[in-house]
Amino acid sequence: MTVLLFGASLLGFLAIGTPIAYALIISGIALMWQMGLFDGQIIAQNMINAANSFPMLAIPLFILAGEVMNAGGLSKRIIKLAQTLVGHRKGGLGYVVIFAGVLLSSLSGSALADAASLTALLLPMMISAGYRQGTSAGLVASASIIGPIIPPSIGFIVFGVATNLSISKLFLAGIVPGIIIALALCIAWSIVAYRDDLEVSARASWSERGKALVDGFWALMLPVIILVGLRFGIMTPTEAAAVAAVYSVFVSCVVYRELSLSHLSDLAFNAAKTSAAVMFLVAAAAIPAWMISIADIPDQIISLIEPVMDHPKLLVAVVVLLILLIGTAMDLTPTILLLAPILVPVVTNAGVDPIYFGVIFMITGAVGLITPPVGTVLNVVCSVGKLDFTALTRGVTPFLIAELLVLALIVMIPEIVQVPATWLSGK
Amino acid sequence: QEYRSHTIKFAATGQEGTPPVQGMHIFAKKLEDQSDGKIKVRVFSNGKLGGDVQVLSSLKGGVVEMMVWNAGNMISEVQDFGILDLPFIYQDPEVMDQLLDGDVGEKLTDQLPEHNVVGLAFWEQGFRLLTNDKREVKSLKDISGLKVRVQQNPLLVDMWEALGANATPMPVTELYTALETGAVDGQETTAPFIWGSKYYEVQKYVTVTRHNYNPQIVLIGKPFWDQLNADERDLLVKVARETAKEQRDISRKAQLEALDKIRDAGNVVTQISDEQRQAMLDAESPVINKYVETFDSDLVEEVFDAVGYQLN
Amino acid sequence: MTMLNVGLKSMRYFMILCLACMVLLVFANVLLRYLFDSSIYIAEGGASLLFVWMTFVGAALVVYERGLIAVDVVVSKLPSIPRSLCEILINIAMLGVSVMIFRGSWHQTILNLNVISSSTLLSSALLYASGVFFSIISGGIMIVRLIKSVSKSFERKSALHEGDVNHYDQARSSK
Ligand code: NA
Ligand code: NA
Repeated sequence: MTVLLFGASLLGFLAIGTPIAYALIISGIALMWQMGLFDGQIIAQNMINAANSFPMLAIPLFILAGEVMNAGGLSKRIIKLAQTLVGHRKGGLGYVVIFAGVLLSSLSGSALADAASLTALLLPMMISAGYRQGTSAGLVASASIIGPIIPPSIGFIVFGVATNLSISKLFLAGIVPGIIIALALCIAWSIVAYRDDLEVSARASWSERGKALVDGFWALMLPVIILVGLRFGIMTPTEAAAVAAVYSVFVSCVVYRELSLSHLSDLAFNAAKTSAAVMFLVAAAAIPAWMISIADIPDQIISLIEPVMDHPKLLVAVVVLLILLIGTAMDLTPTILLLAPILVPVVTNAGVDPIYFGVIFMITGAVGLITPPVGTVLNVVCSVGKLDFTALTRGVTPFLIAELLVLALIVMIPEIVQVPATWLSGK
Repeated sequence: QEYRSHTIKFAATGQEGTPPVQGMHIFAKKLEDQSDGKIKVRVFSNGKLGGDVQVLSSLKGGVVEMMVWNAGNMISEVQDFGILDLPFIYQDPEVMDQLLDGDVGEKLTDQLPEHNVVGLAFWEQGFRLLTNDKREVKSLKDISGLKVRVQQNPLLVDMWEALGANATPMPVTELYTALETGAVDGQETTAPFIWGSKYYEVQKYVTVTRHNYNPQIVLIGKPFWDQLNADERDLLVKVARETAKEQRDISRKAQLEALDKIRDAGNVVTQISDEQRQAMLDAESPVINKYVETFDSDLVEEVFDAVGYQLN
Repeated sequence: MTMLNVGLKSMRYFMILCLACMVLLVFANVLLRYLFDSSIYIAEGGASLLFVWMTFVGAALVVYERGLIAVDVVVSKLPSIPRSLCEILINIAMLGVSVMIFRGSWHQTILNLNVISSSTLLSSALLYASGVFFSIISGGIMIVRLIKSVSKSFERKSALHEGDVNHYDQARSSK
C-alpha cells in the first residue's frame, strides 16, 4: 500500500510536468499523510540536513573547476590533445570519456561527484566536436557510475559498515568488475558511434602530438595533482575539488591569461546556480528516503523472496531485480542502508559469498542511479549539462543495456568477481 | 496502571551490535513487556533517521521520540554537560555510575526540559582509545606530531592539541578512507567502534589511553513526553534505568572482547602505565582549568571530589 | 532599478560570495595543514553552512527562472486548456510545499535559536533559516504565478469560441 502510494504520487505528479524535485517532496508528503506523520519539520529537516554535508561540497567546487577550465582554455587544450591521440578513430572522445570515468572513479568515491565533473569537463567538448547530445550525455552518465564500483567508494564503505564485512576486501573485489564495465561501455560506444557515422579527423603527426602535449601540460597537471593528492592521502575529495578550482583559476588567469576577473564572477554564479539545482534534488530525495526508512518497506519485500532460498544463483538474480526495482526510485546510499543489512544475512544463509554479493549489490545500486524515474546521476548530468531528462534517458539506454549484460554475466559466473578478488587480497 | 498505545521511534547513529544499540533493543523489549504490549519501540540504528544533531532537533520538534548519544555532546544545549568530556580524570566506571545515577546526573538532566528534551537515564559507550599507523604510542611524547582525527568539538580539539597531536576534525564518513590513504595518522574511539567500523584494517597500533569516558544519555523529546500520563512516564524512566544496569554490563564486556578481536586481527595493543597516564593528565591541566570555569562550580566540586582530581 | 532587479542582483552576489568563501576556506585549510601544521577550526562547518545557504538561495532563483528539471513528455502533448489546468495544479502543489517548508523550518529555527553548533560555533538556527528564506521566496513566486494564470484563464474564457469548447471536450473524452 505504502509502495503503491509512493509510486503513484511520484509518477502522477511527474506526468503532469511537476519539477522532479517537487514531485519527490510531494510523494514524501503523501507518505507522511498516509502514515499519520504530517509535519513540515520532516521536510525542512531532511532537506536542509541533506545539503549540510561537507563531502557533497565537492560538487560545486568541481563544477566551478569545470566552468573555469572550459572558459580558461584548459579543456580546449585537452580536447586538442585527445583529438591528436585518438581523434582519428571513430568516436574517439567517447573512449576519452570512458577512460576519464575510470580515472575519476579511482579518485573519488561518489558517482554524483564523478557525474558532475565528467559532465562539466567533457560533455561540452563532445557537443562542440559534433557528437549527439543525448547519446554523449548517456555515455557520461553510464561512465560515471563506475565511481562507486572502483575503489575508493563511499558506497562500499557504507555497505561494509552496515553489514560488518571487510571494506578492503570489497574495495579489491570492485576493481576488476569496474574495468569490465568500462570495456563493455567501449564496445557499446563503438556500436553506437559506428551507427552515428561521425566525421573523423585526419591522423595527427607525432610532432603535432608533441606540441599538443606541451601546450596541454598545465591542464594535464590537474588530474595528476588530484590523483597524487588523493592516492597519497594529502587531501580529501572535497579538498581536492577546492585545489582543482584554485588551480584552474590560477592557470586560466595567470598562465594562459584567457580569463578576466569579471568573467570569473559570471562563471562562479553559473557554478553556484547549477550546483544549487543539483543539491535541491538531493535535498528533495531525502524526504521520501526518510519516510521509506520509517515505513519498513524493505522488510515487507524480503518476505516475498523466501521461496527461492534453495537456489543461490536464482536468489541473487531475484535480489538483483529487487534492488533494480528499488533503485529506480531511490538513491544509492539509502538503498544500501535499507537493504544491505537485511539482504546480506539472507544470501549468506543460502551459501552466497558476501563479498561477491557486495560487488553485485554495488553494481546494481549504481545502475539504479541511471534509471528513471529517479536517477540521481541522470539528474546531475541534466542539471550540469543543461539538457532534457527525456533525451538523456533515451541516450543512456544502449549503455544501460551493456551494464545490465555485465551484471547478468557476473550473476551467472561468480568466478569473474571471486577469482581476481581472492588473488588481489593476496590469499 | 494505565498504559495507552504508543509507538516510539528510538534512533542512534551507532551500528547494530555496538553497546548503545544493544541497549536500545533491550529497552524496547522490556518496555513492551512491562506495558503489556501497549508501548512499542522501533529501533533505528546506523543513522537511518539522520545524524545525531538532526535527530536531537527532531526530538525537540516531536518528529522522533527518543535517541541515545554521547552525553558530553549535550554541551551544545547545556554547557555543564561538557564536564563529562574532560580528559583522563574519569577512570573508574563504577564511580561514574554512582555520579550519573545520583545527584550529578540529576543536576545535569534537570536543565534539559527547558531545551525541549528530557533525560531518562545514562548508559555507556565506554573508554576511548587512540589508534594510529605511525608508531606504537607508549607515552605522552609518542603522541607528539601525530595527525589524529577528533570529534568536531572545541574542548576535544583543545584536549588533543594539549597532548601535542595535530587535531584534525573530519566527518566520520570520510574517516576510514582518510586513515587508509594516510590523510590522518590516527583516530580515537571506543574498542567496539574500532571493531565495528573496521578501523583496525587500516591501523597498526591501538593504545589503551582511556582518555575519555563516554556515558550515553537516553533522551526523549519534550513534545512526546508532554503527551504521556504519569504512569507511562514512570514506566519509561524505570525501564530506561533498569536497562542501564544490563547495558553497562554488556558494554564493559564488549570493550574487552572487541580489544581481543582487534589484537587477533593483527593490531599491536599497548597498555600504558599509570605514570604515563598521569603525565598526560598533567599535560591537560591548562585545558581542564580553562573549561572548568564555564561549568557550575558546585557540580565541578562534587565531580572532582568523587573522582579524586585536584585543580592546580 | 526595480525592487525585483535589486533582489535578483543581491541573490546573485550572495551566491558568488558563498562559493568564493567555500573555495577559500577549504583551500586555505589544505595549505595551513601542510605549511603550518594547523587548521581553521570552522573551515568545514562554515563551508557547509555557506553551501546550505548557497543551495537554497540558488534553488529559489532556479524556481524563479523555471530552471528545475521536469518531465514534460505527457504535458506537452495536451491541448492548451488542460495544460494550463495542470500548471495551476502544479503551482498550488508547489505553494503547499512552500507553506510546509516554511512552517517546518520556522519551527526548527525557533527551537535551535540557543543551540550552538559545534562545527560552526554559531547558532544552529542559522542553518534552518535557509529554509525560511527559500519558502518565503518560492511561496511568493507561486502566489504571483497563480494570480497571473487565473486572470489569464478568465481572459481566455471570455474570448472562448464554440470550436475551442468542442475541441476541449473531444480531447477530454478521448482520454
Ligand atoms: Na571510486
Ligand atoms: Na533510478
